[in-house]
Amino acid sequence: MRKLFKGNISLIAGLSMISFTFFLLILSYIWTPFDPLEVNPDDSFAGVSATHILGADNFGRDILSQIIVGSRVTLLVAALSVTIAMSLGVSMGLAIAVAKRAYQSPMIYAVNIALAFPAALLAIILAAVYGASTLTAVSAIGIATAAAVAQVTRRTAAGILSSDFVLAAHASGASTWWIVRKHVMPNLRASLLIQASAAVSISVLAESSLSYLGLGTPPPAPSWGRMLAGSQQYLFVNPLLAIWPGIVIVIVVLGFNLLGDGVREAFDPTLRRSET
Amino acid sequence: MNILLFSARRLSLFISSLVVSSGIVFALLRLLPGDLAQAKLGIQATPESLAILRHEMGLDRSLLSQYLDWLIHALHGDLGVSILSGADITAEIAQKATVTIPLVIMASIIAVLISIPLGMYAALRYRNFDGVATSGISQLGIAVPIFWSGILIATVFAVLWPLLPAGGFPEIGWSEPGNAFKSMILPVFTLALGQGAVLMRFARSATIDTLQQDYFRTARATGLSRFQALRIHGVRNAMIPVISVLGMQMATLIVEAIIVENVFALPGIGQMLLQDVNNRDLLKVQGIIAVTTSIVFLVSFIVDLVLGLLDPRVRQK
Repeated sequence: MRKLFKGNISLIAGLSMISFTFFLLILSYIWTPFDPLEVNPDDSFAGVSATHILGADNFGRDILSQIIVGSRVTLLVAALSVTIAMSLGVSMGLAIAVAKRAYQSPMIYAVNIALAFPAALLAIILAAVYGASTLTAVSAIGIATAAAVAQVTRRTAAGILSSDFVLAAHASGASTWWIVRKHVMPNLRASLLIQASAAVSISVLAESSLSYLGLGTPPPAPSWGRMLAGSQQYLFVNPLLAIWPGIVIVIVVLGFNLLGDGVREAFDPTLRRSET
Repeated sequence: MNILLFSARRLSLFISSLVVSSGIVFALLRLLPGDLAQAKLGIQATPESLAILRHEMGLDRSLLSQYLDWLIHALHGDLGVSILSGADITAEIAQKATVTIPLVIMASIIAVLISIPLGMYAALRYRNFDGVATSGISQLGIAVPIFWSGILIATVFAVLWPLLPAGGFPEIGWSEPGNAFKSMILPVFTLALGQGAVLMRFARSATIDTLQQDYFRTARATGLSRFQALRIHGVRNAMIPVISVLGMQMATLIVEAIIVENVFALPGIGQMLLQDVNNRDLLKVQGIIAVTTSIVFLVSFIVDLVLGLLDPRVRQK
């Protein structure tokens, strides 16, 4: 375990940033300086002070409290959509990799079509039909990310399936299902971990963009994207409002990207040698 | 594989992708609870007037025949009229495209111009502090949501230091070229920085790869410096992944353009799309999505062709 972390700056930095995010989430259920929705006309645009540590917005709502509670929507959408993306994407990718040649190309074709619809575009279509909600955001992000996961999983699994030990297993009479379970899955583990962390980053970015555009979770639940959309109207009054929510989004996204890099480094000895 | 056969295969793939994807969008938008006639007449419409309008709009026919009808008109450049305003959809998209297309093209060019030298620099110096710092900046650039970088750029260059407009576009468009260009600068840079950060990672890893190749060592052995050898072998090798990734990123780039247009209040396709989504103007949403996905497939078709011409190995696959 210690060997895993030694010299792996990406892994340590990534995990610290992720811990910070989860700390915000847990804190949101225990304590916030103010009620995040409490309107306080006297404190409108309050600056950074001992009462409002990060200031207050146009309604005098406490920024720090909104940021702490905003972690809920972000992490909820990320958790749900990554669950959809990974379960759908990995099973699609594996199915394509083990399918007969004749079935492979139409399935690859379907994945390529899906890749032309990024999460936000799909969410826009769903919002046009059903109206914007957490559900449309989650389904759009989940399905769009699943296509990317399927593509990477298929390539990685195809590489494993063409290796000699799989050939040997085939020759000794093993079934495809047995090979997938015993050979493909264990060898995919690192790649899946990397993909899952990339999927979280993509989801968080997509969720915040949708909230910014007004197509995410509807108010009043505080969300970082919507806080930024609100701050933009008051750039000339209080540009500082546009800073804080952006910083927490970057911490989450960067944290999961670095986690992915760190896992890659830890599992790929060739990378370790050339990088250190 | 023969070039002609290769191009013909890619062309058929391109055309079928257009048909299938527009079919999916059509089906998705028809899943609506209620229908287009209801959306047009509102909830107080009588059943009789609804039935008449449904017949007029062809909504009483099968979905497939409605789709084929739409597709044939679309191929003739007719995307129908807006349910709400009655305006011609094709004409409106064409007008808004005069903002969106220059935005996307200028941003792509600047992204490539930023990412290749920086990526190569980060690769050359990857054991040193400045190389690590350069790739760290690209990591950070990837993690920053595009609307936030847009807001920050607007804050710095339009609010704190009022050099350029924080948003908007001249009413008469490019007929006022100076002001139109000025309003494009910040959005273009916002889009280019986000895209450049992604492309830079690919330029960097392609260059690191080149540095370890035998031909690079040979070039060095003939007396060229690392920099000279890289100028000969590195730039082209870095270009290939950057161009192909840019092609694959086209869908993302268009979505980011939609977001950037909203940050800077640019009256382009993206801003129109969001208004139409809020108004539930489904036929127009369908038209806009069909056009943007066509552009995505067209770009990936062109990128495939170019890469196939440049690199015989691509044709073999």
